Amino acid sequence: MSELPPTAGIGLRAPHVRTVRDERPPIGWLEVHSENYFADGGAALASLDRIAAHYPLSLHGVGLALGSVAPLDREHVRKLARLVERVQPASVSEHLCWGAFGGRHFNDLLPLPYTSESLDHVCARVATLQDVLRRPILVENVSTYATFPESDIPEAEFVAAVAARTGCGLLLDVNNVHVNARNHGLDAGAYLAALPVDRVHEIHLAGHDDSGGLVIDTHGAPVAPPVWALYEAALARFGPVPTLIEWDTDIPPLDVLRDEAARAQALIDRCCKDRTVARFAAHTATAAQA
Amino acid sequence: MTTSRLAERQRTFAERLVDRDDAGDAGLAVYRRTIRANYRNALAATYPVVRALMGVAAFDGLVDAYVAARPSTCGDLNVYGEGLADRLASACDAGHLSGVARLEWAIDEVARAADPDGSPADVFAAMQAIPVEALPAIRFPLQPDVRLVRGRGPILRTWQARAAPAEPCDDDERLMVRRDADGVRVERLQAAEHAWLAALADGAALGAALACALRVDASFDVSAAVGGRIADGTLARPRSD
Repeated sequence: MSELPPTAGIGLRAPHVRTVRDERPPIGWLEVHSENYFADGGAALASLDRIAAHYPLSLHGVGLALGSVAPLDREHVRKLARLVERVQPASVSEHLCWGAFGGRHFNDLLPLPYTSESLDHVCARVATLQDVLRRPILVENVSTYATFPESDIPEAEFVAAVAARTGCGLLLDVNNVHVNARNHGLDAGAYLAALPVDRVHEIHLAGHDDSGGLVIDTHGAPVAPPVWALYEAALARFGPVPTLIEWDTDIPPLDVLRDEAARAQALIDRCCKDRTVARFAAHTATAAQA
Repeated sequence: MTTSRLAERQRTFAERLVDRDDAGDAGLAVYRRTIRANYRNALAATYPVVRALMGVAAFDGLVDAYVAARPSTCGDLNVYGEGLADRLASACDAGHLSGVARLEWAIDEVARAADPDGSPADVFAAMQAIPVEALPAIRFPLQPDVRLVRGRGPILRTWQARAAPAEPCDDDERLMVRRDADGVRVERLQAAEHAWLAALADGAALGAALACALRVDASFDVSAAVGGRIADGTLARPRSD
């Protein structure tokens, strides 16, 4: 499902490709947007080949729009399958959203109503994609700015149900949980508690804009303090999960991304240590009773 | 539950996203802003010189109008934006701008194109295996990573300088764009040279393509052109289909 190491990685975007390719700085793993490598040939693909030879790689799709009622874009799927075959990534992921209708694509992550109909539809699409790729994928919870009166399944239960019914894994975007909790009055802790522990195979951390009415998921700022706090809660529940620093707008120098990743890594390390101590304590208690 | 209610929800949401008269709520406004920014950013990456020449505000306005007229049909934004040059040509009278846009789209396409189909040595070897009398009927496609550009000049000089030309020009300029070891190379072509390469790109056989060049320039050196364009990697393997 995911062979990413339980360490901190960064989202690799164009400004840093050359540096990473040529200098190979120590980074746990890398994630790229799948569509940026759908080309038939050329320098970008050649760079990705070299990068994939030295780092665990995650392919993260932003354009398949799995929840659209419009037919699944077979050409998009073909290109994704071709890329997966080429770079043999440790993980393949997409978003739990829709994005196209009536032949028009909006190229955004649009919100689904959380209903049994949506669940059936999304699960069928995830199953189809997994069949084509011949591997389980991870699906990511998205930030939303609209809700629908017909939604009758809590978002976290909807996300968990997709994993349960399709066998896919979950890419838990902790920032998105925070954004949705703020925007829609959700309980972020309850959200995490509703997700199955054994299904969360990757975590995303990103910055947001909290300067106006709605909190906006911008991927253009450092991870905010409440998101770090929620991330610690996520680690406590899900254990040391591969964690990505996502930064897509106003992309800072690579060292800034690595500093953010180092902060995530420190929390992962502490999580591992806490778990080891807890296991040791449990073992000691059991031995003492015996 | 069938997909009908979900389809209806997506239909109404999609309609509200593009309905300029629908003020909508704060959430809808967030999606509209994000979508608009996504297209502006994507086309700014494809057309950096056009954007620099026009200025950000005018370019963003052009992109908004383009998106309204030719909505995206694909989830991959990297391939969106073909035809912005046509929109420019009809929207303003600065002829060199549409030419620069055609050049930038060609550069973008070349960067994404498949790798070459055979080395020059492979192409020469394939050509030598064909009887000379059969060659005029053979097609020599351009390599996948080669594009031709034609538009009102000056295109190349404007693109290189990232500045509007001091002197307007009514003549067409013809260019060839290809990948090379350093990225992308742009070469200016004479009219006859462009004529036969454009004919090949359109699927013409070698004889018909060379006739196009000779109609433009009766002194066009056919042998040198064919040999030179195989040697420099412009032509792919010959095809007899």
